[in-house]
Amino acid sequence: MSRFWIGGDVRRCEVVLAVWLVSLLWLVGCASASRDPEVLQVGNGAEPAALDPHLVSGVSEHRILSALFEGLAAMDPATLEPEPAAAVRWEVSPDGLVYRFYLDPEGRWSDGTPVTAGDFVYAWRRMLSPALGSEYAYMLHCLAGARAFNKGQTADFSTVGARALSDTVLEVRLEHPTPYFLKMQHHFAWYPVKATAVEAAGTIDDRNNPWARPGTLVSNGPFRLVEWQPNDQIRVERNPYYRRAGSVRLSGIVFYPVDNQQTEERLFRAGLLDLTSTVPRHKIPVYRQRMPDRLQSHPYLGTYFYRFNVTRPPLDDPRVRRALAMALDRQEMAERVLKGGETPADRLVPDGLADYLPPAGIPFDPEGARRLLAEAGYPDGRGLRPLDLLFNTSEAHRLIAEAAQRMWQERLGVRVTLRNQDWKVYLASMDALDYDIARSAWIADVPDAVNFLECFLTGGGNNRTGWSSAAYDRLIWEAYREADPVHRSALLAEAEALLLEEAPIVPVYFYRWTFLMQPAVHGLIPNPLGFIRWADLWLERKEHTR
Amino acid sequence: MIRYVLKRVAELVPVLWAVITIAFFLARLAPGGPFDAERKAPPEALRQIEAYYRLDQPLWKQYALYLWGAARGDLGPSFRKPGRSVTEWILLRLPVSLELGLYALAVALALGLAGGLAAALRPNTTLDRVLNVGALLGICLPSFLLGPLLVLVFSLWLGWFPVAGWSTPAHKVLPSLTLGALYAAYLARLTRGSMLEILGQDFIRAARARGVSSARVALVHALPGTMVPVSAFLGPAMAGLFTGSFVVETIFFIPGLGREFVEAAFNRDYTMVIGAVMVYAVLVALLNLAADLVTAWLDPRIRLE
Repeated sequence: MSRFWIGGDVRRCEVVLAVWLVSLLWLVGCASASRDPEVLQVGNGAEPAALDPHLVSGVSEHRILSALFEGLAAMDPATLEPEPAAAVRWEVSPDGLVYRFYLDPEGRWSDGTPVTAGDFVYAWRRMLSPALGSEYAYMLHCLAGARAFNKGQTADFSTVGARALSDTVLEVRLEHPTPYFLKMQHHFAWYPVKATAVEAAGTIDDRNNPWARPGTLVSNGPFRLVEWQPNDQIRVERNPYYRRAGSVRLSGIVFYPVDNQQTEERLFRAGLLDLTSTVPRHKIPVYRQRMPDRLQSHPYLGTYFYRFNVTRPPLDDPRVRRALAMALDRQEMAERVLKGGETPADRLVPDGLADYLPPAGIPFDPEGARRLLAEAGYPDGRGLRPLDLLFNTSEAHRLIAEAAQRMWQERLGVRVTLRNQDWKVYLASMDALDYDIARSAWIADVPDAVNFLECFLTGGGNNRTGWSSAAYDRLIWEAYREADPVHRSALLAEAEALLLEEAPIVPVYFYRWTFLMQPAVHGLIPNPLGFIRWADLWLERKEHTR
Repeated sequence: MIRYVLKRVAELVPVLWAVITIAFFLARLAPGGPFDAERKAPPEALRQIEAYYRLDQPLWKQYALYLWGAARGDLGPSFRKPGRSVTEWILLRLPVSLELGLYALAVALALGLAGGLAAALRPNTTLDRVLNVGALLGICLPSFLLGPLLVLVFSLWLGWFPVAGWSTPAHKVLPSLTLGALYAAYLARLTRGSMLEILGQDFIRAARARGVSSARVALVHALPGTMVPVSAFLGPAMAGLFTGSFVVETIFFIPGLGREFVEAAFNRDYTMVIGAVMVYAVLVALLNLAADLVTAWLDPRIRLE
């Protein structure tokens, strides 16, 4: 019996083995199939929910859309100042309320037809259509009359401050002076869409209009959509009709929606990705040591902070909140806990905004914190109930929460219990103010301090602390209407000082834009908004690097 | 036989109804909704979106509308991914998961049966022990460890297979191995035990006494009997392979339904979750039916009623 296994037909075994080896070699051959060296391979995080600029909200969608479309103005990544894009120039009225844009007459859609001022008006009408329910429509509320139209109070779009004076001249009237209006134009919320392309596939305000797909998506940017294999890849190629097609050096880009950071890093290591969306935290020190030229880490306009629920005692007492804030050693948090090069934050608004002079931050002062806590009636934390610290499931959030828990316990005698929840449960808990302290973050989509500060307006959807201050609201609203940049900056700084004094939040650190990039990639200019101007990029691949 | 199959298929209808109902209400019971986000949309936009997806209507009505749609084969639009229907998503993604499952099944059968038979034919030898340890490893190593390990060795060190993806045949080797390993290990243990039991039975001894060769005894006399527990195991195993590929799909960046399902559950994409659960329910039911039929065909003692 035991001879059965080897006693069979030896020759047959050999044949089977040979076939197996040959097929293995064939498979291995497939693995090293070559690819177009002029095509950039990009890891892009989550699968995009859609490619319709009016229905998306995420970073991964923004990345792809910024390759496909362009707004009236682009943003210089080095200075964050607006520069001509679909519009070659513009005029602003002295009161800052009326903008007149002159479109590039060379502007073409990817189907070869000209981009007109009417296309922008159409796009904004669609964006603001109440039935579309666009989550980013509020970005357009700075247009005169846009809020009323978006809320369905009027169905007449001519009441909104956007008018095509001719095919190439667009006039925009604003509700109030908006100093960052031009800077917003690089955001997908403002991109034009082509009416005939949208309406060939459905109605203007149907969320499920499937126009934004290969074959039907028409765009005006440096690249055009070729292929979208959901959860696999999105391929774009140079748009031959782009107004500056000659200056685009990449022949195409493939975006891979690799949502798993480890997988993305492995793909990068194998040379299959040129750019990643992020780096697994534990890999940062490894790259820093072994391949520092591949690791990119730059300041980013994002702040990680803790919210305090001010509707619950004892956190309704500003002294308790301020004491907790002052006892948090952000330096230690960044250097010893996070170790990813993050900048400790003592303020909400990150550095890197040219026209903003920030106020003094929350100091790290354990002595002062103890005094404040004693003043509030809780010397050395006596009499204070345990506070719960809510965060959504993530290794980094847990590390930070554990460090904060230790710091508050050691320095103030405040007991903190950790509570982690799945993302959506955590969001629901925050909205319902069912927490004491909650981990949070804010990433700017416009490089302006007000983008951070307006979150804490009374009753705002992103306030989520229950905090309300009439003085704060007044300062923000004054800043909205202020045309003078210096005075506006002062108003905002005053508002931030008030916010930090009352401490409904405690900032922890400022984000960094950290990703991996192959040395073959050139032309990427790091910027605190973390956007990439794909048209500027080029590749210099060495032979046989694959 | 045909009546039995028809009866089992007919039983699927109430099962599906129950699955839809449970999935529908469980999804709604989970805190948070599809449109909650860190950057909160303005209330008027949220109201519009909810009206569009009929989330503003009473739950019983939403349920009734969903059932009515499902009965006509319309699983609704995806809440989080405008522009595509749930049916379209499933048709896009299910074939990939099925393909992966089939390859993994092939791996499981090839490694599991061969290993199990080899071990059973040489019990308590070094080969048996090595195979035993291998099977134990296969059972103990979770795929989220085995997958990256295989990638490290065969992709990053040896460069034989791609790190991740799902386009060429080479891309499919490591994921299939990772997914199939656990089932191969179970199958090897099962085959070994089953074969040893049968080899000890009287009819085998009788065959040997008649002078039948060892190979013939093992392959012709013993193997069909060995297959009875194996085929009974294969039904649930296939269901597990087809529906349990989420981790492998994530590690290897495979555009299958498993990833979609878990992502939809995290995002509270209600229609997508229910759609995926439904597909999985149908798969499990059909595979179990197939396994029952095969088992009955292999084992004359079983009669299908």
